[in-house]
Amino acid sequence: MREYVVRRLLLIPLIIIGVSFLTFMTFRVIPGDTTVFICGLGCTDEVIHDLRAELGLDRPVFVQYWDWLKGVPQGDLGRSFQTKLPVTKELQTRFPVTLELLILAVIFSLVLGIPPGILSAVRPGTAVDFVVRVVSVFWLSIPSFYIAILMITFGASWFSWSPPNFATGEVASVFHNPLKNLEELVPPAIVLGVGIAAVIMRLTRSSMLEVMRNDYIRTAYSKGLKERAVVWRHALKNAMIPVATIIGLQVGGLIGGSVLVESVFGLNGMGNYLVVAIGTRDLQVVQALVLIFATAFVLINLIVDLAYAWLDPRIHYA
Amino acid sequence: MEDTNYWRRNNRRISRRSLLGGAATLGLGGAAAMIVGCGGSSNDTNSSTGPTGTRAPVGSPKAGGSVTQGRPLTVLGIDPHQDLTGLDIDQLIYPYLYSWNPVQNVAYFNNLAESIEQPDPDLTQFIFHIRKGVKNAPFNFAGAGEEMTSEDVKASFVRRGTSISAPDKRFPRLISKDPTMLAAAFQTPDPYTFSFKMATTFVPALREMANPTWAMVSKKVLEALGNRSLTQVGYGAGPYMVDQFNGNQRISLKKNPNYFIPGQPLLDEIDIVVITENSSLLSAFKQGQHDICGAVLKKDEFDDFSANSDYICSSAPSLFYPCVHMKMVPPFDDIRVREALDISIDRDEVIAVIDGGDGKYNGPIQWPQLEWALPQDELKAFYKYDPEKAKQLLTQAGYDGGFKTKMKLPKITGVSQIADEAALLKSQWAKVGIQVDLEEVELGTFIGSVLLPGNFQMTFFPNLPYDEPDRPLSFYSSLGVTGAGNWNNYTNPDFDLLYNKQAQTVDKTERQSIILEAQRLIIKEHAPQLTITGGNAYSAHWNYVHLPYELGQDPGTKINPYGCDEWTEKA
Repeated sequence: MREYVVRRLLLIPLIIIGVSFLTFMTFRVIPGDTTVFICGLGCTDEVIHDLRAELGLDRPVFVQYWDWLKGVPQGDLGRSFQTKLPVTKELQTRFPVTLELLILAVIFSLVLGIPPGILSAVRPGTAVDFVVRVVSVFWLSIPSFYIAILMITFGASWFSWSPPNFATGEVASVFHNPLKNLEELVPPAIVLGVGIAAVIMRLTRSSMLEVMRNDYIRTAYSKGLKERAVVWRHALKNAMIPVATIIGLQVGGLIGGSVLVESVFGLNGMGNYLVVAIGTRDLQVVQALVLIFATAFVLINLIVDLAYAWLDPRIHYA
Repeated sequence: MEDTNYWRRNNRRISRRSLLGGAATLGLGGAAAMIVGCGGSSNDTNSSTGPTGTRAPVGSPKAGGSVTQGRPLTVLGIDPHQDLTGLDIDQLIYPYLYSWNPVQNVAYFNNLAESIEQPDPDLTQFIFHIRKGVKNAPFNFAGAGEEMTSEDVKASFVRRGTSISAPDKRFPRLISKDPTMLAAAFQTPDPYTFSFKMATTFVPALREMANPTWAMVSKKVLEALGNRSLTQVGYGAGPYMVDQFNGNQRISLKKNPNYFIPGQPLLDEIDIVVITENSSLLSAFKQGQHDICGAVLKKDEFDDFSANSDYICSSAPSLFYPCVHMKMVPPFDDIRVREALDISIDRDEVIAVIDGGDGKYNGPIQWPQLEWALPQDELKAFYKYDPEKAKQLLTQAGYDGGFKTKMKLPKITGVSQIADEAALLKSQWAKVGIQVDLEEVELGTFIGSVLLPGNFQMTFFPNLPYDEPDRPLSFYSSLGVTGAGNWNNYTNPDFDLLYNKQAQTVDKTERQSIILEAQRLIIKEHAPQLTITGGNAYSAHWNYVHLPYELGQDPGTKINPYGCDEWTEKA
């Protein structure tokens, strides 16, 4: 097990370098140029040439990439082409917002997904089961950004509510003003979480149904165990193995979803920052954010893989 | 200053009420400034529908309080000589030589310059008399609190005139052909006199120097900056100073205690909140979180606000004008094809559908520029919708039954008009057999990879709001708007002559005549930038906020510099 973990950890830098290199090269291939954003329609070949020299974009691509990469281990993620500020400075305020949003979204997706999924599986064919299945299809079929727009539009029209951060453009600190912080982050977290909750709900239901049909469950019932004990002690742990896998994969989707939801809710997290950076071809910022997202994704998947062994003692990593 | 560390940040107020002016067109104007950096104000018109709504009983203007306004576009920087997305903010931080009244087309000297002299009959010489006692704000940098002099004006002119990214290099190059010799072309005989002489007359010069890119920055600030820029900092002598700048989320400005006009500005603070989603901006305004609406308003939204007396709403003819650009390659190099495209556009339908019924025909110069635009009757007669004739023209040109082409258009967040109008044009052209595929391209890619290199057959591009006729005409000149070449490949030596002549003609009546002649030449050729219609821009703010003038109104020539006279009834 230890060897497996070490091997996976050693692979992470290689994956990160691969992802960052691909991102770097992709931005060299796709149309659009950050210098055009700086000079607008006043751009002439001469202006673009001077700006490229000023930003260091006239150097060979591999030199640019190496210069950026060698700063990463020292915590230097480069400077924004547009604002000229270090990317890490901007991340000081943005990283916590996105992190908290994702954590809350995962919590909501688990709360909204697992209990109804279990209930639906242990009461198949009932009204509860029907409601759970309809709700899950509904949540699955509506994109999160659309739910976000509806929440803001109807929140304003019907309840005179709109996210408090609209007034300041900033999210309150969870340590200094936790209530306001939650008021600002719970609605987008719910919006972000429901899509995954639907997936978890459906998978929990099908996985539980499968487990509940196993002989050992029948045996547990025949021993006279109460339903609660059978479900919680014998069925749930086994049924959760595929669910754990899907949660790990869905977190990647959550990161993508946060980009849209942050824009609609005006949250100044990393997702919103990424949108602006891509739009202005601010390669340094995009590169840094992709690096962070990729690292997070790889680590989460490692944690999920390790969780298998804990959930199912039969699984061993050689 | 706000603590930039999220974990240590203290609680903030949930909302701050107050205002700043004329912001509803900010989105479009900002986008516009980002695209071209023309510096023209988007609310400058010669006609307007004026403010609607009920203003609460107003007492005397009250000092104090703050206002919050929304903003749909990220502010990438606030260096007035280099950055194009924060020009509205630059005007609050820095002084300018003078202000411009776009309705009367006159300069008024309420700012750093007290007066101007132009002794030469050809108006090539400019002598500015600098006001005494204009001091920098008490910022924490070189030059803080010091008086602005002619040396500061000179340093600013040199920096703006030689800035790589600043738009419009035509004017500074008339002062000195060689940018490295620009400094030598300016004279500062004493601390309160600044002058220069241009090689030839350039009538738009006076308007150009009032643009927000011509901010006056202290020489000491510039020297201390060295190679750095003012992108993330503001060291000015304007009515406000930067308290917090984070262009992606919030810009907070506070009153400059050293401001040269006693008692001004009236507001203590202006907060600008960036929310890039238009519906969210609208919601924040409706809920009172923003005092001035930052969303780009459509006609129906404007009508809803107008029906509510809590808001002050105004509209004005918009100088923003989407138009169809064509490359002068087959089939568009054939005038019959261009004419067919032109007369198969049902402009009345465009006005009804896109402009909410409130629009007029645009010629090469937008209709709200009443002194320079071609008369509506003439445009209506010329652009008469005639699909049958269009089909005949296509047949004569060898395109019996029409042809297929592609039209690229930019995707601008929060601005749906471009895509909506392009879809309408597509349906109208389909009626004469011209099948157009629309390709929406993200804005940055559009400018860099489509427009500037001329990588298109057809493109639908919103030209910016200009209140001076020279700039809209430049699109048709051989050198184009960039001065480096016409991206449509259009060349017309007769037009070029007229275009250059109008810029050198001081007599207004004569200049009008030349400009009208130039436009008639263009439309007769169906030159490859087909203008369509122009509608209105809309603004709204809460009625406890008081602006010196509303969108589209004549500001007169007696008001204080931009940002000064706004006030709020709220504490």
